[in-house]
Amino acid sequence: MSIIRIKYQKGEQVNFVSHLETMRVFIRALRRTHLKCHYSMGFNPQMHLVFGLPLPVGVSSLAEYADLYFDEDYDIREVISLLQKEIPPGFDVLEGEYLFSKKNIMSDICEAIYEITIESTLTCQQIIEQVHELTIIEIEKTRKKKTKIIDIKPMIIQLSANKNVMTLTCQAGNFGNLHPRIFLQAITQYIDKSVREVSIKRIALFTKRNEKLVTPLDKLVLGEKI
Amino acid sequence: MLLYQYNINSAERTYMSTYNQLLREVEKPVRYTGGELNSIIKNHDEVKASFAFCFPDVYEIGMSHLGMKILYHILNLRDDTVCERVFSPWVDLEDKMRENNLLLTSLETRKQVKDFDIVGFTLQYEMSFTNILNMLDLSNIPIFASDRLESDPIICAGGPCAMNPEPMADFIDFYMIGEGEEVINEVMDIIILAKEKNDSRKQTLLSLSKLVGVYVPSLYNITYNEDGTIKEGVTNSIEKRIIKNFDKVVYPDKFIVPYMNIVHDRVMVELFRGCSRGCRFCQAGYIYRPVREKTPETLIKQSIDLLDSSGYEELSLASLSTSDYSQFEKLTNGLLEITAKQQVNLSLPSLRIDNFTMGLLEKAKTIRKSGLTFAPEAGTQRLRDVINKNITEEDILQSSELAVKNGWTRIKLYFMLGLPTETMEDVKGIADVVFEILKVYKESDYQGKKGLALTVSTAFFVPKAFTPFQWEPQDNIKLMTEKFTYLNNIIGQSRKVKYNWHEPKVSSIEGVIARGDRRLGQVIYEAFKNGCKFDSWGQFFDYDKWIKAFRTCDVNPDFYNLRIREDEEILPWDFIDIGVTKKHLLIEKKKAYKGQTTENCMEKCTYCGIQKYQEGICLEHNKN
Repeated sequence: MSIIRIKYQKGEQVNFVSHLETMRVFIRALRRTHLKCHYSMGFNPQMHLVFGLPLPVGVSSLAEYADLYFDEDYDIREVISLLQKEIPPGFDVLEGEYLFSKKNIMSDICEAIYEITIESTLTCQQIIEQVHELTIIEIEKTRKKKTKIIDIKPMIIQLSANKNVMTLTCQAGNFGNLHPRIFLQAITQYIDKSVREVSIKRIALFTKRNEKLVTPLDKLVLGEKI
Repeated sequence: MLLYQYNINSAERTYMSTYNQLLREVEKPVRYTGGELNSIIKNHDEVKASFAFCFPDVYEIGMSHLGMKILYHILNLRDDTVCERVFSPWVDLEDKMRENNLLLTSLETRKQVKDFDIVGFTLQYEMSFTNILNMLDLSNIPIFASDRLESDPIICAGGPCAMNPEPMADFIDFYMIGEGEEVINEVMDIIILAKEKNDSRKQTLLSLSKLVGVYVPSLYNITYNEDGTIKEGVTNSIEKRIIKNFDKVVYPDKFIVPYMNIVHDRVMVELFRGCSRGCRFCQAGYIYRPVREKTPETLIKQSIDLLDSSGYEELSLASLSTSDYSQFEKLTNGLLEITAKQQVNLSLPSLRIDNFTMGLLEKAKTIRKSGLTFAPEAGTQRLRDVINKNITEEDILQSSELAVKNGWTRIKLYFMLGLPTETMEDVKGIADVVFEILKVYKESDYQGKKGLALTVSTAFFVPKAFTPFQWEPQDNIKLMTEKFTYLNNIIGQSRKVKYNWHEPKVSSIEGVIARGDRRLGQVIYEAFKNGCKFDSWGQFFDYDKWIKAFRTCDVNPDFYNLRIREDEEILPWDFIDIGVTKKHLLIEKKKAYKGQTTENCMEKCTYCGIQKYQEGICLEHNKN
């Protein structure tokens, strides 16, 4: 059995395909490759694959990750090439590496970078300056009839602007996740009412090893063959 | 945002970016983006004609329709034609489109529907008719055929409801009656020639009318008697099209694989068309005769090709009565080899209760079990004989016992209320059957952990054209309500049974339109103007708006659904020749009233009239 971690891109053309639907795209593409994928046991076998941090609907991405489980040992280039051939237009499978570490990719992610294009009255530079001036940014989060108040300021790690595009580096994953639209919601609430989302693109995902930020395909993350 | 950018001008670019922005504000935007695997994109400048195939409901319903997949494939096989898909936008997008003056577009290249040469609708159910008018309106195409100009596309329609084409006759330029695979190519040949010659609409429609199976309503005038019945109907005979040599008919080797969950998200192969059982309420069984099968070899090859090109996890065998397929063993053995290897689930819908055998069960056991569905349709043997559903109570109980003993715990039962000669005894009979099945479960030695999940569903009988019951009255709403309430009080109260019933008011309007004539066109238009759309969706159906439409047009709905028709009456659909003769239907009607059954035509020919095609199982008979 082998596990291959792949990096793929989700273009603007397939923006609106949800995270669950994306998983099905990969499952069906893998079925078309006729590679021996690993299925769970039991009454209703499911193909075993694990995806990284879910991408919100309407957001495109340059860096998404998924772990694919196979019953046989395959050459990585063969897998990438077969998969790229079967994946529908809009998706691109870029590269892959063997995964030896048992660490689950979902729980591993800690940081993300988003490029957010907006329409607004203030310039992005002005908006960012105001964000920096606020000490706390409180947002109401309602989940299953319970409303919590969360301060998202500490989740913002870095902000920069280029014309009408803001680049946001923020916390991501199971231990604190800033949803880019929550960020926009906060800006509309506290800084500029007229802000409207034009497009959002996730450009990177990171995890940490030895206090350093690395991508999920870094050697330190993948581990070594025992 | 699109991969393909053929000759897009700045006006179109603005249009598309507005449209794309709106998609961020609606539910399930992936309904509208296209770009799915296996969708076909052609350059309109490189073809001679374009066809917009419209399914008058939302994406996830329309994408489940097999007919569209077949015709999309056939049309796109032609180098000179492009076919693209169009679905009804959901109400949230429609509102935004109207606000922003955005017209309806096709999925593949976002081309405006009004710019296609032909716009085709499939008529699958009467409650989709107002959606058709809405789609025309959203496309800026004149709703009434008589209002269309030379620059407007030609509007056509087909599908099972086209067997009574009259209620929609005001809106459709031409109909294709029967099976579409061959006639659609003949139609395109004429359209392309007409375009080259610069023929007028009238000339083009006249040329089309010469094709077998094509009906052009505008060529005929209907006159009526004092009592409202038809004096003179369509004065021509339109023969339905059927595919001879069904085994070799063109069938897709690729299905479009949608991104979102659609209703039937799987590979489908057609085992056979038509049905030999002759259940007297069933229109499909009559209009798709003669029974013609595909060979197991063909079906296995089609299944392999479709699974390979789609990656789908489920394969479904489609037909009117799957267990009647003559080479069922051979087929399922062949398929199970493939499905087991590829982790594919085999789905067997439309099984009959009377041949649900141990053999079939053994086969199905290796497949992942979904639920089992049986359709006894009537609760007493007397009524089952009337409708010619030749299954006995023993069949029902034996099959249920077999199912339950082998671990099938999800069972669905379909019945109808309002069948001809039905009494409250018969309605109670449904409850009796349900309790017998519960008893079977209780007394079986099933050791499993899951409890029995029994779902009972009753539809209200809608008499359809071309059945022995086409002269029958439908129950009125009061009686329908009495009947389902009565049943609900008995079986709906049991914790072990889930009872679903259809809404009487919807069934009533269906009943009116199903056997309507041309005078209903105005009513359907009024209903649409009153705001009726998505009538098959519970949250939108508005009975009062429909009744208001009838009143405005001074048309009495009861004339169409509550009246008993005389044997000699000219019926609006009489001019269509489906092969089965009116004489045969009348004989079946008389037998029904006597409670006499008719055998399966595989056992003995019933001389229904279809032998004239010399096809399918009729040929088998002649061999003996």
